[in-house]
Amino acid sequence: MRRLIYWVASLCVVGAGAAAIVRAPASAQNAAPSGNAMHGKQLFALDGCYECHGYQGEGGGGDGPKLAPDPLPYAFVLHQLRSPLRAMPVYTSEVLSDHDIADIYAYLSSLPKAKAVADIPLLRCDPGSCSNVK
Amino acid sequence: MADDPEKVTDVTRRQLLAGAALGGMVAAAAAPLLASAQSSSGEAHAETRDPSSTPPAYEPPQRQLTFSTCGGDYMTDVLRGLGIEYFAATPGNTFMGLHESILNYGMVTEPKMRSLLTLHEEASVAMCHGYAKIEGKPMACGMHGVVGLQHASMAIYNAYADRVPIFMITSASLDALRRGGGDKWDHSGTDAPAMVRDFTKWDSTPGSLGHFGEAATRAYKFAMTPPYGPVLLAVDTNMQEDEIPGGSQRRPPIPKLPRISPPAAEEAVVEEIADKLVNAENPVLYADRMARTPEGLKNLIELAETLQAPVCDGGNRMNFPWRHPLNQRAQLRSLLGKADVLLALEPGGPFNLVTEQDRDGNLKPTLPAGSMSISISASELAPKGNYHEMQRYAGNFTLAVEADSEATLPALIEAVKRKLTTSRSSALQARGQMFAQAHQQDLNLAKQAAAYGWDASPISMPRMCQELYYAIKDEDWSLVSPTAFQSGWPQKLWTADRHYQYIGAQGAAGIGYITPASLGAALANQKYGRFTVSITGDGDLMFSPGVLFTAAHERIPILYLVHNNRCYHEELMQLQFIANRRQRGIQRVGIACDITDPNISYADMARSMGVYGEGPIVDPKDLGPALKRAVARVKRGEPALIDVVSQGR
Repeated sequence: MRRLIYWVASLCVVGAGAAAIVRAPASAQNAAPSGNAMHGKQLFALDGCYECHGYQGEGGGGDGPKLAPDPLPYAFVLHQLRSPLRAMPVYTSEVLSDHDIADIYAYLSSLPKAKAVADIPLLRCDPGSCSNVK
Repeated sequence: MADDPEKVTDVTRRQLLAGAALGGMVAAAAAPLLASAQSSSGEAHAETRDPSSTPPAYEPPQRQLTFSTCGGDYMTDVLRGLGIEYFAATPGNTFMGLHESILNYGMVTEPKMRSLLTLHEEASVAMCHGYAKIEGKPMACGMHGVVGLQHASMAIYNAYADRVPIFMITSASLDALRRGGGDKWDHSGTDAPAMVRDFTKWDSTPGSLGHFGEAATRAYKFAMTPPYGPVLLAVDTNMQEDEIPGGSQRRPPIPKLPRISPPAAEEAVVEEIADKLVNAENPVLYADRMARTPEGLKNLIELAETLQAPVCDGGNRMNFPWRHPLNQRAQLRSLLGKADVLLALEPGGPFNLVTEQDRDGNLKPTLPAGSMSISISASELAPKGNYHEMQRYAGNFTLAVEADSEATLPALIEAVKRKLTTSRSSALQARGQMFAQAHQQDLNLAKQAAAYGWDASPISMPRMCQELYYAIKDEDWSLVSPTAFQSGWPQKLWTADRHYQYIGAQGAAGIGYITPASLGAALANQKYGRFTVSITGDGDLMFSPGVLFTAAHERIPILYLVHNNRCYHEELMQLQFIANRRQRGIQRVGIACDITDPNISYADMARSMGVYGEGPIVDPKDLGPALKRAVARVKRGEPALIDVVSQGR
């Protein structure tokens, strides 16, 4: 969560600073357009999002933050794709159309919430203090 | 010739095997024999044969064909005298004089050495690399002249960059007139060690047996003096094979190895550092290749607890317990941002520690203005210039102490304790409590993050790592693979507090390290009865799959988990970055990186070499039971491999 907050905060700060250089697409001003989640799932793999963020957008450790469930607001996601911070590849409209991004966003939005830690035996206890959890 | 052994009674089998290379020598010695053989065949010189004549009686030349002393035996005694227990090698006929001595003398007399068969010289060196990080001393390896050393070169570079001691032997051919023909010329060079000199700590080509003894002892001493490093002896093939000149009466003495005292920081600078640390409000201790031995780990705990200071681990050694309340690995950047004193112990990348660089090349310091940054490192005591493993020059450091950190810590701890007043010590306790809470909070956050994608297939990294942890946590386990490709999940979630429970990474990020280095570490762990586990990549494994044969053949227990993302994943991500900048999309970058079509069956591959294998495991629910079966195999002394189809990171 801390990383997520940091990321959002960074987006806000840098996004404001970069406004004069990179114009946010008009759709960024709006709520998420409707998209095809099934197609978005395919695109998430085909366009390499999974490489850093995991196939379910769960996050890839240090390489890419968690994207789902509960993705960041669509405008942030769109801006990050078009004008990425940090080590993320840039996705111009030549590579990924707004329509495709809407589909990917629909896929991320469709993903169910994670199990609670308390419901996962291998995560429930502090390491070293659990035995025979199965 | 092989069909008529009676004709060659004067030529030993060994000489026959070397016959092709010996060329002219053998041809001259065997001339009467060949003439006789050719005469009887009727194929040669038929026009000169006189059927009525009787061939002259063959009189064997008076030559000494056997001897009871040899250079190889003396060399074996030198190695044993240095405490070297193992010799890993892919055989080669330029160092067989030594190899035969180890097999027939070193392995059967006390103190016994053990020779291990590898299928690639890179694996030999990487095994030495892993072994040394567990055992704290070198094992030896033999490499064929020129070509073997060329094979080994990347592994040597990894060990050099990782500051790890390795004792390497290759051949030399000092007397061209005894070199024989063909491959003996291909496999010799005027100065073959030159090809790796830029990334070995020292090398020598001794000119006599006595010189070998001294050079070997000096090499060992250099290898084991911080900064540790690989050393190489190029040993004349004839010197290995010949009898000792003058016989056993002239056998050179075995030189004594002195006790080595590593370079520690001078007293005045230790006092200065202690002053700064005691009075700092926000000190940060950073350790990377610091804990050469368990003493380093123990001493860093004592320093951190005395100061109640946070410790961030660079991950190249087991410097600090993963679940110690003062372990603040996850908070490195934020802690640096408010640090008034940074003490960096053997930092592998000092520039990146004190400087941040964005993708446009803009730099900014990670520490606030006015802070003091101190490094204690031995790595610059033996610098070389050609390769850049030292990373970018870190100009932001205030004080660079050119000394070994582990050797300096005891004096620093004493100085800190002397300077700590009771009231100051009490004040620091509150700081420690704050960090304990932060550590627990980071652990909770890591668990929450691990829950995302928990049931995904391909299997997520935290799921894979936790399934593994719960399969081994009740064993005396030792994780001997780096964790960067698993996004450091073991450090985030596991408990580890012993020095051998983690040994860091490749050194120079050379792929092909993990599988063989893990086996070397397992070899070291074997005599202590530890359970060795390695998470290797599919890409790494395929650089040296023959290591699995060595594991089975040498009966070394180890559990390999193959992080099978069916890809050179790091490169895929980087290619994607470049392709997207050029607005070409990524659909074609897999051509360069995907290890698919066909999907390799690593379990089948393991089984083909005598290693227990399971997989590919696709459903996360199947992983725990497979691990349980594999763990049972390893506890019986066998190697085992589980192929886990898993996420990229």
